[in-house]
Amino acid sequence: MRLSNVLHYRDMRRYTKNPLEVRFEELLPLKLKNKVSGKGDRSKERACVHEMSIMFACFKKNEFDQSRCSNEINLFQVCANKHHIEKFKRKQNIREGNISLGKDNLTPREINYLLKKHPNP
Amino acid sequence: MALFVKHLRLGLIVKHGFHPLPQLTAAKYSVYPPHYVEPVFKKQDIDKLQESGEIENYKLVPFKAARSNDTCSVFHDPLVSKFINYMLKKGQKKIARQVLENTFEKIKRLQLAKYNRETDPERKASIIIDPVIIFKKAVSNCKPLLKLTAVKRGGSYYQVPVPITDKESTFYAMRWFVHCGREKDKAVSFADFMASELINASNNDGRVFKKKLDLHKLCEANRAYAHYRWS
Repeated sequence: MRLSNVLHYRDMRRYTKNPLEVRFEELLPLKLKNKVSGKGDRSKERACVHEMSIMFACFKKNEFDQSRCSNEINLFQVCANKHHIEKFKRKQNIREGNISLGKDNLTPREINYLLKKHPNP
Repeated sequence: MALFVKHLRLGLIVKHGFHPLPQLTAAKYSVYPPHYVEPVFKKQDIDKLQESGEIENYKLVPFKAARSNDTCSVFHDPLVSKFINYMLKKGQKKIARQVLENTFEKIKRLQLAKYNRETDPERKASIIIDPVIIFKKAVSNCKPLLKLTAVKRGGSYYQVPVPITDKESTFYAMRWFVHCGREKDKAVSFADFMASELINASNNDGRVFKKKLDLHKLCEANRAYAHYRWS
């Protein structure tokens, strides 16, 4: 692929005045790349935000008295602990380069690893 | 005689200036490689390990040396020794320890006076006199559940409430105690102030407890930004 084609894309207006005269030109190769960007990985919802909001609602009702919201606090802390452990595990996996294969829900890193091994023909 | 004293002083200066005494402290923990394990220095803990048979796992593992303040004395408490480390200035651990011991003595005196004044037997039984128990209760009452961190979004920083670990919240609580002790009126001694503050905090009251509530209120006010945090 020549980059100049993409850069001079604007010049194509010359012959698009007449739609019947449009020539097809393959500016980028018509196949999928051998990697995915990791942007879609991060989920929009942050962990334990729901639990946090429930806890705050209880706090507001009871004027920040913790003894009356022990159930909500406990739920929040359990969630935070779980998230903390998961985060630690994830980081450790990345550091050690562990890859869980044979799963249906792969991370971008795992997909990239597999695509590198078996590239698009 | 005066000449002798002068010479003695000069001698001391020379001694301290050029030949400092060899340090009697243990080696810094950062010298150990990461595979070294934290020492089990309490005899009770070792006995427990021996009973459960877990001691086999420790046999071929290299250990760090115990710290100079680690003892199996009944008066040793990990939380208290941590607090001493947080409140000491310029490494003057002896002074810090003495101040905290003084504080504990004052707590005990205050609580005993309260105990002797009380006539109702039920209430009398509920008064805690052990200063270490009061200290632990005060610290656990002042532990925050969340903290605020600055996160940059769209060019401006937002204060985002984030959950914290148990260790971190303990640190926050202890640091507030120390900071409150340093901000006090100069006429009151640190030990006096700390004693009343610890007793108040154990009853869910006082400056440090208020600090925690203020933090919780700030977090509550900034709860809308909770989804801004990383991870």
